[in-house]
Amino acid sequence: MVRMNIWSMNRYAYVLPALILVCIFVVYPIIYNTVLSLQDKDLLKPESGRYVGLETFRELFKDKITWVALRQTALWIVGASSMGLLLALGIGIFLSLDFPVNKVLRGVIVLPWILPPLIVATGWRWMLQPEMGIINDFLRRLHLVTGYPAWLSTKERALATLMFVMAWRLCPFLSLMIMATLRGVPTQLYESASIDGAGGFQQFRFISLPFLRFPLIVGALLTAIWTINEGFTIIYITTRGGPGESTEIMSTVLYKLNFLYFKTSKAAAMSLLNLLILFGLSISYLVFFRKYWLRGVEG
Amino acid sequence: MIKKLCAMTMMATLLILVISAVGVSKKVEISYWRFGGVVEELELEPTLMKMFNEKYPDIKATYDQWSWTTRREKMLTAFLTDSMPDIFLMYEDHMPEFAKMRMIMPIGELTQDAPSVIAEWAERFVPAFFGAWKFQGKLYALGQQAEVSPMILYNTKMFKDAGLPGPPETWDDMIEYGKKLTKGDVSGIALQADRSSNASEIYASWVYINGGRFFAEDGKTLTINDAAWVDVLEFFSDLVNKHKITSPGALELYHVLAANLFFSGRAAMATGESWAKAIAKEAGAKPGFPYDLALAPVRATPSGTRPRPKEKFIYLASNAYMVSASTTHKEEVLKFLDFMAQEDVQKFWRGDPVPGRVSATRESIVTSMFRKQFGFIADAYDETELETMTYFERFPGYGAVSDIISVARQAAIGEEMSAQEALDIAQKDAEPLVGGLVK
Repeated sequence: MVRMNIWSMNRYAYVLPALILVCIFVVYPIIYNTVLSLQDKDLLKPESGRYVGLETFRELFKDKITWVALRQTALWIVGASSMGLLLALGIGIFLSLDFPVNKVLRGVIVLPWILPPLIVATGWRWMLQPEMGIINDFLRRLHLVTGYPAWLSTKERALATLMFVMAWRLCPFLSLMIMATLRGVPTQLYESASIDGAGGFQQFRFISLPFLRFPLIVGALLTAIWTINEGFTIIYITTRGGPGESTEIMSTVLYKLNFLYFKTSKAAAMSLLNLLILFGLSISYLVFFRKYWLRGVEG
Repeated sequence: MIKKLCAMTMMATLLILVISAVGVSKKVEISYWRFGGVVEELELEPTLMKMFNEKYPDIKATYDQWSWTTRREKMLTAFLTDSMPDIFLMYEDHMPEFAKMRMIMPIGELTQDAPSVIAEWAERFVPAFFGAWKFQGKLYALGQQAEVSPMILYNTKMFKDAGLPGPPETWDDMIEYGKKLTKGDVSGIALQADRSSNASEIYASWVYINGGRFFAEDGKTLTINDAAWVDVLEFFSDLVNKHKITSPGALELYHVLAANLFFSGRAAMATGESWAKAIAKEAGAKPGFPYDLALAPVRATPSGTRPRPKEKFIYLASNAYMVSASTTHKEEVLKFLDFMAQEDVQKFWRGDPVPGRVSATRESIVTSMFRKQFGFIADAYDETELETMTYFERFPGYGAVSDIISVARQAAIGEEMSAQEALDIAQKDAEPLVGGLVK
């Protein structure tokens, strides 16, 4: 009995260092941020910092930019994740095939994923430059565009272009996940289906896709989380939220509120909203993952 | 005997160690952060540190270089986490905000001697620049050099080939010249209109020359939607949309990119400020590239209510030293600032080794080396000692107002709405942000 107690205490001792770190670097900042959001802290007003309840949130929701940012954040998450998934699906299927070149491509494909987001954003900013960028040069050589389209200077194109950049960054991880899943599908299934007269599309629809359900859903949730986390760097470096406010998302607005406007409490309130979205997505991911894992364990 | 010898040696060693430890502890260490700068300045800084440390052997100044783009974040984080350096150097456009949040302290309050040291500086520096380093009558910053605006870069060869007499002097000239120079892959003007603070400064300095200011004469009422602001924005919008003489993608052009287009021969003119020459190397200018820097063209009759600055340029900002309010080495900090204010140091910004910066001292600004770079500034100094020079208003809330204006600027140039509508919205958004902060 005593030995059991020591054993169970040991178990807790092993997780204690991690728990302490999580408390210091995750729990404490969240609590501090919540306290800040309930105050009226404005760095330009030294007398500020009083408790005001939910007043800061009320003010935040009165601002037009909050609603613009919320709407565009939703668009950003859905758009960038969907583009990333579609790109990854195509690349993943291609990489799962037995072409000799794929052995090299499977290594090269991770490049966008391992590059720091700052480098990705700066690189794309130059590549998308209308006159000197490689993108327009390439498109002009293929006679796909005339003149010098400005990808980041028009309200209609900027957000979609940046979604593509984000998708480009995210798709390697998903592609490899999809490729690994497809290569794990028993070949006998395809052979049997082929004997039964199933065509390529039917084989994909009824054999590959059911196997891909898990990586696709997990991938969608993970990319949604990553688009929020990395969206700031991609957008801030390339457009700073412009043209006008057309690429402002919650993280760019909360950055401005804190570092340009010095409205600390408002920024804290905005970051809590951001956190809530991330929390919702993370919980969905965990619930789904657990359900799927339990199903696997139970056979 | 051996024991005695060993004991004596140990004693002597101990004594040396104690003496050297006392010696080391006497040396006061002060930390200095620099944000941004051109290549030549970054190469110069270690030399300056060496010179300072040699002159003051009892002080050790340590130097760290940080990115220009993250200057606000870095300073704000350092301030909130109580890890500020003793001195830092950055544009003093945020100086009133930093003073308001008690991040920085007035230099005159450093020591009892500080006011007399400041009085010496006041004699040495160009008064218009020196005045701009004050907030509410107190000196909070000491400029390393100065920047004036607005300017344009123009390609002298392209101008000559097109039979143009010189840089455009009026807005109409600019349109006419721009049309003549826009050919094939070459645009008339690389107009910097992204959301950066640089682009906002360029726009605002055109407004100043057009008789506009951020505030009315009462110093409290924002006037960012008056005719001076609207007309400049309409002019910029027309260059892009009506006359189509600007480089594609004006709304994503930042200072290096605009200069890059210019120095690669893709644009005959580029908007900028006095730093435009300083970044030439960074922007890829080849030796002997045929260009010059000129004053930006003006509207034939200014549309604002305030007088057009006589010089047709304004003092914009300085890379300036500011002192952390939490410094405990006040005496040493004052010595550091005084060292940097000496002509022996200031001379480095006359053109060699640092090109393209406006010298801030009276002695440097009249040198032939400086005149060669900025003849029109030297001429204006000869005439009035720049006593009547207008300077860019800096005020608590400037960061927010500048950002709001950048949104309006892009909305108008992007043809989402008219310049008047965009600036009316900006005025409405900005008013509550400066209300109560500006007195």
